[in-house]
Amino acid sequence: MRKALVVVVGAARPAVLVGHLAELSARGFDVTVVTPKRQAARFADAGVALVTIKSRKATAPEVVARIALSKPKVVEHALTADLIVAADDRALLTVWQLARVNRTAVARYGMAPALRVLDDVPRRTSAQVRRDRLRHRVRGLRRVAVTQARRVVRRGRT
Amino acid sequence: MTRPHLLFLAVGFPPAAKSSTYRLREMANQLVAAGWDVTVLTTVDESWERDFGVDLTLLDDVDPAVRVVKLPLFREDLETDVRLMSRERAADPRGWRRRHLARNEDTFPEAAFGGWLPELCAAVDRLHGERPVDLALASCVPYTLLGVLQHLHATAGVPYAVDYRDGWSVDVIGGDEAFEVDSRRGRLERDVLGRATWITFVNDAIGDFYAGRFPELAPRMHVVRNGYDRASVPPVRPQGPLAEDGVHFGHVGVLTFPVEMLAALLEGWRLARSRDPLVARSRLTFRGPTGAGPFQGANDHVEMLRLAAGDGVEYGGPVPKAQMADLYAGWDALVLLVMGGRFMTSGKVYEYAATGLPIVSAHAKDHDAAAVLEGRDLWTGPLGVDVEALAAGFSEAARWAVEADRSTREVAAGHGRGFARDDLMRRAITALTAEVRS
Repeated sequence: MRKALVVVVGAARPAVLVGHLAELSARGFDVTVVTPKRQAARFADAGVALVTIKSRKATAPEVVARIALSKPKVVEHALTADLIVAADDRALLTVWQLARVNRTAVARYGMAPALRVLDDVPRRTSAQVRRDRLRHRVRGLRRVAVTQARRVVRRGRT
Repeated sequence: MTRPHLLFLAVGFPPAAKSSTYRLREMANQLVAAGWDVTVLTTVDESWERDFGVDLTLLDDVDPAVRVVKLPLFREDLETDVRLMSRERAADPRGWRRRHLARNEDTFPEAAFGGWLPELCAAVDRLHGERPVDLALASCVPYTLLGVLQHLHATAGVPYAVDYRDGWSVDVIGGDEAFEVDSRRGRLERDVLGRATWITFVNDAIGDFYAGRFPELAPRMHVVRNGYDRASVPPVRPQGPLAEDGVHFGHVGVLTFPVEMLAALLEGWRLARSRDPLVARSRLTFRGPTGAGPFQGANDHVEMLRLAAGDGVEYGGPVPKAQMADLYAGWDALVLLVMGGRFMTSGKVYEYAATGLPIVSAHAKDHDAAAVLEGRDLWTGPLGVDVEALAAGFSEAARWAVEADRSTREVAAGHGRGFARDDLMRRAITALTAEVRS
């Protein structure tokens, strides 16, 4: 079964969204929704897996993306997804960044455009997933190393 | 003898699932019939997939003699592939779009399409180089095509005609002037229309507006209404449904009207259901494309329709042109919900009129659709968005749907039959051809 990761941050048009999620599942996708905790109830009967993140209504897209990417569960779902979808404006940056973690998944802005290309979404190979996971770990280690080096330099100055 | 070469700038030509596509198709077919070799210039199908979608059945009735050239031009603001987006765009899609549209206007003063002008001009230069163009015809929107006509005329002296489906300098929804005559767009429009050999509009109100704005051009101005395609209208039904089965109301067309209008209509529907057992047993179906780019099929209208499912309302998405006759044949009464006023007609009104089915009209009294339907039987008259009036209209139309006999339906259909698109376009293209060749 192919996997889809849908990021939902905005609260507009819930009935349409639930309908689209149902269609995505019906067309053979194992669907996981990443959404702020306050919105989780919307998806109670949608037949999808949920990963919630802590974010407020007015949280800036940059902050939402940082919160989502700091959550290992979100990253793990992104790494194995064949399709990543931003359901709204405010989810777009998060998906843009997840699409850099997973270099080969199809990534779309909008549920309808995603549903339109489902037939062309290939199942990612385990080699692709391994490669992206390794790259993500290396980037993580590099980030830690750079942060520590900066800290050392700062201490040296003081 | 070699047939003269006509370059038809028809962005939105089939298979684009846009409301304008039927007019463009019939114009091209009638131009071929009138003796022209027609080259249509439009954009690749993928660009319409981002927009309101593609309907391949529209190609069935395109005359095979029409040569179609498709340019790889896309509305970048409708891109939905996240991997093709910059970080700047992903972080602020609305702000990015605003800036993108403003940049387009630097090239040509039309936000969505202005940036296409250089590629369009290069394409017409190439086509004119391959085979000289005797006449260019542009059907706008997009108005950027006016810039292409201007270019072709300036560089190669090619005469041209303009078909306005809306009207650039008139706000067809608000009814006001969209821009002043001496503004950048106003000067450009005056220059292009001033050199046109033939100018057409889709209704009298737009024609009158332009005749008033450019009185010296009035003799070259003509009204060519959209009309309906015969194949889209089924034979008149001899009778309606049984009262105990309820009435199936239908609305077809692009859902672009303000969402407040839809809310009023649905309120009127609910009120009618609460009062009238016949309407309570009835259904209301909406068909047609809605939204573009990331919001295709996912705008506020669809949300409202989904939430009204408990009231016998459903949204069935777009319907291919080839299935239109079957769609009407399955409905017992029609709902015409259109925005705007006297400058707007709505292409669907002609089809509606010719079906012979009862029509509930939710639009302004002075709407041009009312002018088309005036005097037709089985029509409620324009009810605006008055909830009480709409409720009464639904009840009245439901009763007509059940009770109207065959002759009443035939008379109602006959009212619309004078608007067959092939007849209207044949007359117009024959006149254009005679004018150009005289």
